[in-house]
Order: sequence, then C-alpha cells, then structure tokens
Amino acid sequence: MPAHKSDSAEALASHAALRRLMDAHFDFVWRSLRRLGLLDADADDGTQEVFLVASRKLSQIAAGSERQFLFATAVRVASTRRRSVKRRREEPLLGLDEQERSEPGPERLTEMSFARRELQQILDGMDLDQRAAFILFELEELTVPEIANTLGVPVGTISSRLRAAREHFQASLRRREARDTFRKARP
Amino acid sequence: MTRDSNLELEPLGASGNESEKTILKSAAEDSPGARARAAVTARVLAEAAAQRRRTFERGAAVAGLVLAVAAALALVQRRVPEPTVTLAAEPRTSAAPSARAPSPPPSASGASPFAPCAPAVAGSGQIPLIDDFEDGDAHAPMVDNRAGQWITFNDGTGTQTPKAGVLLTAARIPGGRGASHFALHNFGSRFTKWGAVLSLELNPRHCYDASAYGGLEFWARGRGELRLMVKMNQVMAEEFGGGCAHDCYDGHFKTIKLTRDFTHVVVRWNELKQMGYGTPLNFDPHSIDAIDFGVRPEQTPFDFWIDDVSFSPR
Repeated sequence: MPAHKSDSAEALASHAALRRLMDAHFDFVWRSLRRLGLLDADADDGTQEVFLVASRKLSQIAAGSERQFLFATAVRVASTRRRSVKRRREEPLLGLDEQERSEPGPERLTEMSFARRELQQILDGMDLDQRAAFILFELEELTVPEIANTLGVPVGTISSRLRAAREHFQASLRRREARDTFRKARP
Repeated sequence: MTRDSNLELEPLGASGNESEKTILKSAAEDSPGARARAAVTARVLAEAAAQRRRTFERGAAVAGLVLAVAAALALVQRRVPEPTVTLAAEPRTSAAPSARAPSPPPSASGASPFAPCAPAVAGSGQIPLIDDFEDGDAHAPMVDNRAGQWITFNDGTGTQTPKAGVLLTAARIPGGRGASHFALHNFGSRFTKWGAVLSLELNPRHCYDASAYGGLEFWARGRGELRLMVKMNQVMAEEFGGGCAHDCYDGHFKTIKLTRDFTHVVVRWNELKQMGYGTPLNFDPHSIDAIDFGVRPEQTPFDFWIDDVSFSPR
C-alpha cells in the first residue's frame, strides 16, 4: 500500500539519518558534555540523551547546522545533569590536590592526560554560559557570530562571556603554575 | 588564523603561551571509549526505533478508531433513509429498500488460501533487510511495516547462551566479516527434547504479510545443521494469538548445513516444508508470525552465528 510504503521509507531514512548523525558527531557531543562538566559515565548517558532529542527532531535540523543543534542540546542536557551530579562531581575534585600530593601523578599519568585533568578542573570553575562560549571558541574553533547563533544569544553577550572565561582560564593557569613552582621549590 | 576581527581575539591555542597551548591541545585527546560508543549508539537507535514503533502503533490505533467511528456513522446513516421514506409517503407498493449484499471481506494483498490474521500488515517488497546487527542490539528496526525482537528459548534440558529470557545483544564478529562487525551468536550444550531456538518475533502484530518478497536470506557459520523455520500465524497456538488449536508449531522449515566460515544462505518460500505432525498446510507468506533459527537435539552441542538477515526479492 502506498501509505505503508512511504511510512517504511520514512522510517528507514530516519534510521539511516540518525546513524549518520551519530557516526559524524558522537565524539563531538561526548567531548562537549565532558567539557561542560559531566563525568565519563554521565557523559555516556548525556550523549544518549542528546541524540534521542536529535532523533525526535531530525526533520527540523537544517543541513549544515547539526553541530550547532547538538551543542545547544548538549548545553541543556549538561545543565540538567550537572544539577543532579553536582555533589558527586565535587567530591573527587575536592580530593584531587590531596591525591596529587600523595601520589606521583605526573609519573603515572601521561603529560597530556594530566593536562586534560587540569583543563577539566579549570572549566569546572566557570559558569555554564562562560564555559560554553569558551569551549566553542577555543576548542571547537567557532567564530563569535557562529557561537551566538548556536547558543541563541547576541554577539556582544558572547564576546563578554568569552572575555570573562579567558580571564578565568588564564588566572587559573597562573595560579596552578605558581603552586607547582612552590611545590617544586619546597624542601 | 584570524578568527574574529570584531572581537580582536585569537584563539589561545594559537596566540597563547606554551602552557595555554599545551592544556588546550590536550582537550583533543579526550574521547569516548569504543565500548561506550557502541553501547550508546545501540541504545539510541533501539530507542529511536521504539519511538517510531510507538508512533506507528498509535497511528494504527487512531486509524482503527477512525474506522470504528466511520462504521458507526455508516450504520446510523443506513437507518436514516427508512424514516425518510415513510415521511415522504412513498407508495406502499414500492419495494422496501433491501439490504445490500455484504461486500466481500477485504483481502490481504493477493489471494491467500487462509483467512489472514487480522490486522495483517504488508511489506512493500522494497526494503528487504530485516537486521544487520551493526547497531549492536537485537532489535530489528521498524522498516517496511515490520519490527522485531530477537529472543532465545529452548526445551529446558540443556544450556543456551545467551539464555532464554535475557535481553540479547549482538556480538562482535572476531576479525569481522567484510564490512560487517556484529552478528548474533548462539551456542549451548546438549538438549534432549526438541532443542534450542534463536527467534525473531515480528512486531507489531505478529502477523506480517511478506508475500511481496520471495524468501529469506542470511549469512551463517557454525557447526552441524541449523533449521530455518518460518512460522505462519496459523501454526501458532490460539493462546498466543495464533490460529492453531492442537498439534501446533508445525512450522515450515529448511535445514541448513553450517560451515566453518560465513556462508550466504538463500531460502525460497517454496523450499519450506512442515515436519508433518500438525495440520498440513502449504506455506503462505501472507501471515508470518516469527522466524526461527533452531537446532534439534541431535545437533547439540551447538554454536552458530547469524548475520544480515533479510527477505529476498521475488
């Protein structure tokens, strides 16, 4: 029957489109959620949530704007999930300095993975709005107008969020470097 | 690279000091594990398929409701002319409107020797692939008016892995099979009654009209023999919505000799025969309830893989 045929074709096309979307953007979504403050397991669940939202709105996502849609969804998902995991998130971070003092972290971790943890901690110190702007500009290399379009806020707002985020990032990095210098100099 | 002249900012990855560059560069190294990626992808695709299925079923329910309302209206309208005739004072000699001869029952697509299980849903013949398992789950997606769930069951005398009743997932094919990386894997110990089965229950109606297709095909490997059985609704017990009162489950099958390497198997509808203990029926693809891959007791212990299960063109 024609109706059945069109339903089936639509279902197949939808399945294939979702599959393509996931193949192309899975890592981006997962990484974004991690940078937006979710732990690994939460990032897995959050990624699932983002793509389920996308699956329901596939027909509304304009070609070429998939990443913007997915990131905007990821920000909302991360915002919701961060509220519920905030306590869990804070506990290991509060213990991290102690862990670094007692364990030979740099010896056991590669330099990049250590840097990644540092970055994660700095990002954790930003509010979600600044963080989103910082991630998109510094890590995903979007322009300010593109970020404004993605997040649905004015360009000027993005500019000010980005400036604040960069100040936070640079100040945090300076503090950490000073701390490391102090530790190394300590007898 | 100039990124934004209005903002007059360069990304720190390009313009920052070494510490800033190193720490920002490290972000690119963060990625999900392959297992997490496969698991999440499988869950999303399965849930999306389930959403489509629910939408389809809601649509079917609405369509049923619309039909019921339409039928009720038709009945009401059929009664209306009688008082109209009376009020118009038609001559008593005129023949009373006779009831129309009942319309022939709506047939399934094409002639079938059996009453179709209702409501049957028909495949178009355009989308043969049932499941390639590359999504990692054991849920056949909703395409061409069919979906399905792979399950296992057995006679209870041996062990089967995955066990009956557990949610199946596809297994990674060691070394892959060309572009295919996942398939269903089933193995077990000796059974003594009728054996063990890996089955696809066709949803949403357990009654799929596959007459637009010419048969089934799939890839298989293993040891011993495997029995491909296609169960019509007519051989399923009444208690499970079938049309069989006694000596049920005498489905139509063909025995496949398994090989060590994956082999492509094609089975035409006319190759399927019953064992013969139930009511004799010629195979008819208008009302398929399930597709089974089974092993008889004499073929146990067993170990087989199934991949790319598909209908064949006519």
